[in-house]
Amino acid sequence: MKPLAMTILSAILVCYTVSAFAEISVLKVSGTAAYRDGKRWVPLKAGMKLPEGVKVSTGANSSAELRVNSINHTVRIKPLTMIQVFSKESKSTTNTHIGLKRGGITAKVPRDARVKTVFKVSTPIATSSVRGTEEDISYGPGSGMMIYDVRSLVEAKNRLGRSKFISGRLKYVQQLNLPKSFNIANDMRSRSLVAVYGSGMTGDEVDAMLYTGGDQTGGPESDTGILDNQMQQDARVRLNITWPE
Amino acid sequence: MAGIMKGMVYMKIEKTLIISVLILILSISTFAQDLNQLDWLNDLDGKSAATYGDAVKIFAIQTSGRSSSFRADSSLLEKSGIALDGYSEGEELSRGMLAKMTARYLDLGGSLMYMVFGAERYAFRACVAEGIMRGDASENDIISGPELVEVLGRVSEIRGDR
Repeated sequence: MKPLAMTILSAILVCYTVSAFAEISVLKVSGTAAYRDGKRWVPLKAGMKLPEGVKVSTGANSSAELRVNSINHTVRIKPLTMIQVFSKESKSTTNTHIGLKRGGITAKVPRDARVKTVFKVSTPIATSSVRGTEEDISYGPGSGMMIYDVRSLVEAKNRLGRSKFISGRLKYVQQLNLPKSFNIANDMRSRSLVAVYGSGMTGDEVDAMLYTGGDQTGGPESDTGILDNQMQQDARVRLNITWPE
Repeated sequence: MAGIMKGMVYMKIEKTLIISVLILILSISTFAQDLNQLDWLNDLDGKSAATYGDAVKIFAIQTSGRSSSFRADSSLLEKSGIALDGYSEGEELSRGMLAKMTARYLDLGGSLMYMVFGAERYAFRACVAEGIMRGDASENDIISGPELVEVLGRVSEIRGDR
């Protein structure tokens, strides 16, 4: 093949495969919500198109909803929040990265089997990668980064590269200046009547755990590895009910 | 006669124009006020210590959607029972002070001691019980600007859920 034809063909291929900026659009606005244009704030309005890397901020009692690409990945921005949105897409991939400076968002990332999806939310202390469909994320100096109300699966990784998988009622809490996140089952424990442990444990291990009154929702250092590997599987629950005499 | 009619038509047009301009000016000033809130929040986000004045302003915005002077905002919050007695605008904001304003705004009854005594210390515990503040802190700690914004974000969410 001639060099010129090769060059043209390569250029066409590159243009086809390289992701272009996705269309970021405003779906809903309530109260005060604006995006940064240079040094000024421009009020958001439904239907408005926003540029790549846009910074969006909401005021008290205010919220906004953005669609970040053509396959309906959306972000609901809660009150007193500031985010920055980067979104690229091609026919077969979407790549969205949201920087959460403060406040909270609800991300909805419906799956499309034909499209390889990367959807990350970063705060100064950790990053979440959505592998499912929905998650709530908040960040602030007091509570750190929290990921909760997850539908399907989310991977959370702190700055030291330590990662946890979150699903269902598990909650990820990574505070500032701590090397590890809290035990992801901590929040469930206060509402739980029964001991929680992974089905991969031996009978002796379970007996020892129950004897000491512990379970796998214990302290921040407890091992949740067995639970991590059993997410989205059926749980077996054994109940020993002792009636008072 | 035709001249008088013409004059009346011009007057009508002039009146309509004046009203339209006034509406436009009013709507622009409303937007400007809203957007000022975002600039103020950004400034607050960079403060290492928030003041009672900041708390009054953010609660005024939260409750009425706008804020003006410290005096006017304080009087607005007094009417709704959120304002605190004996603090000046520039006084540093403690966690206990913010907890008390929060407990009053959300009408928290999570702590029996707070319900009986209404003190900042117990208001703080009521806020901890509601998951609004962290329990490993003290009610005497000075709150930073970002922490104040964070707490109000949670308050706003709780209020929205009710």
